[in-house]
Amino acid sequence: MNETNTNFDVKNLQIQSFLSIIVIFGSLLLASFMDNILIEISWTIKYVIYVLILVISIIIMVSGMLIEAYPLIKAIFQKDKSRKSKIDKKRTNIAWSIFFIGFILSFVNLIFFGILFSINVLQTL
Amino acid sequence: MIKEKYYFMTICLLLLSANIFNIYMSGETIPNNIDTGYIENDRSNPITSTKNEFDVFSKVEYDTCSKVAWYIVEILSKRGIETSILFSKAIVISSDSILIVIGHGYLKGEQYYIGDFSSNMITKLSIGKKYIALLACYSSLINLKNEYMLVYDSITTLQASVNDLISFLGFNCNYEAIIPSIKLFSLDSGGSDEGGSDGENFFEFMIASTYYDGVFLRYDLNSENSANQYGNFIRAHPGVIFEINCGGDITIAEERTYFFGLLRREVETTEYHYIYCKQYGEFRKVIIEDNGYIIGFENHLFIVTYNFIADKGTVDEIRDVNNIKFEKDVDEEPDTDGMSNEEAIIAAALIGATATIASACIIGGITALVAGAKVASYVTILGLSASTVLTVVGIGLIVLGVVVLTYFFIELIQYLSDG
Repeated sequence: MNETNTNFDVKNLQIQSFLSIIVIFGSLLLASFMDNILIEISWTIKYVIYVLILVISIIIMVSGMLIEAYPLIKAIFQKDKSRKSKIDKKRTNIAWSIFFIGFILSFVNLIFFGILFSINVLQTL
Repeated sequence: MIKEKYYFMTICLLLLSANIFNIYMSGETIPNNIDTGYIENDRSNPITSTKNEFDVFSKVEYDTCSKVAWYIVEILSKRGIETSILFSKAIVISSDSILIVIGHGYLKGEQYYIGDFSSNMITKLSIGKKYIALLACYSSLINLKNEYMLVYDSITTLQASVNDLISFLGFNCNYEAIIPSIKLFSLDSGGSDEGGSDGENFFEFMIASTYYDGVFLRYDLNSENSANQYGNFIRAHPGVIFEINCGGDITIAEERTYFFGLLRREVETTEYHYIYCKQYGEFRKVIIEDNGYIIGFENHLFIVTYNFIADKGTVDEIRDVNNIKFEKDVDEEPDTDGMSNEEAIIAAALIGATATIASACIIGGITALVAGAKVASYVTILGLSASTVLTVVGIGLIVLGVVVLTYFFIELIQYLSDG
């Protein structure tokens, strides 16, 4: 019902890739910065929480992307030489919703960790 | 597709630049000591020692500290290793490959200190050093990952730790010769938030005795003798760079100034030519009157002996090598006087963290905006148009980034101006 005759749109997948790469790069940047400034035992737990949330959000984002790319993957496994598939709007919308939740979770994590760090630093002043 | 590639490359470059800037900025807080030494001796593996506690209540004395410091410096200098010494509430001896910290190890809140050096500061100092010796009780609490380390997971004493240091450095020294002149004392002498410490007031004990007048902790001004002792010590060791730090408690500012005045007189009336005020890692302006006397002090002295200059080159060469700036060379430097090294690290950390978060928000926001413009029209997120959602999120992130960045920079400027 939801499928159209249009070929699979790779552009959506590219956009998702861009978004996820940006948020992962940003998180790694912050983590590397923290590592330069604070090497404290008490921060180990905070790092673990931070990385754990980041990993979860990455998994969510990747899940969304896999759902989005499902027709393409299916075509590849079916050895469809044309590698063309049809757009499933319902699946695409679910994929984007899941991906977006992961994206927002990553950013909230990034900001939360930064604020936590700032508070910790300010307390030592 | 080409546009996307350029966009992606630009973002990667931006993030890479920011990361490099972070590393550079955090590295800026490391003191630039004169380090040209090297070590050829074979070394042992990291040692962790456990010693028995004794003589907890003995006092740290200047003679003991100076003897130990000079003993170590002498050992190193005989092997062609030039070192700088920092006298503070701890003694820090460093070369390009070695860092030795001697002092009283204690916990203040959650953070471990040796003297007035926090674990953060020691960590920063340890970067790039091959051999680390932290001669203080419980120094294993500092989480270092250097190649060779001498740390303690329990209480130790000065004598025992110096003995360990000699083994650690692989030197075959006549240690027995110095033992009789070292008065035993515990490096963990009870200094903590609860007070009652001689180790906590390491530096003060070198310059003055203290007493409590019922309201304030007062310092007897017996600094004259201490300054004389210090001057003698410095004069006795030409070729060594002395950095003297008396940071921390602002309530002793007057006594500190008085002591530095006395010390200045000591060194100025002898063969020592130059004294520099210095914060860690950054040389501050030197105020020299026409008659050659230094009239201004912060809480640092940096003394280069006459012999050192004679051995190593002209004043200009020394200055060039070490980025020493005379007053006339200081051009409109940002006025950060009064900031300690730790405060400078914190300020740098705040700027860096804020800039990182804000830039991440701004870059993420721009990406979301672009994504919103490019995403297919039929895509929805949680029932809403993906284009609209991404645009709103993008604008929100950009605004958040700009606001955070602006707010923190205003706070930082105020802090610096107040400081």
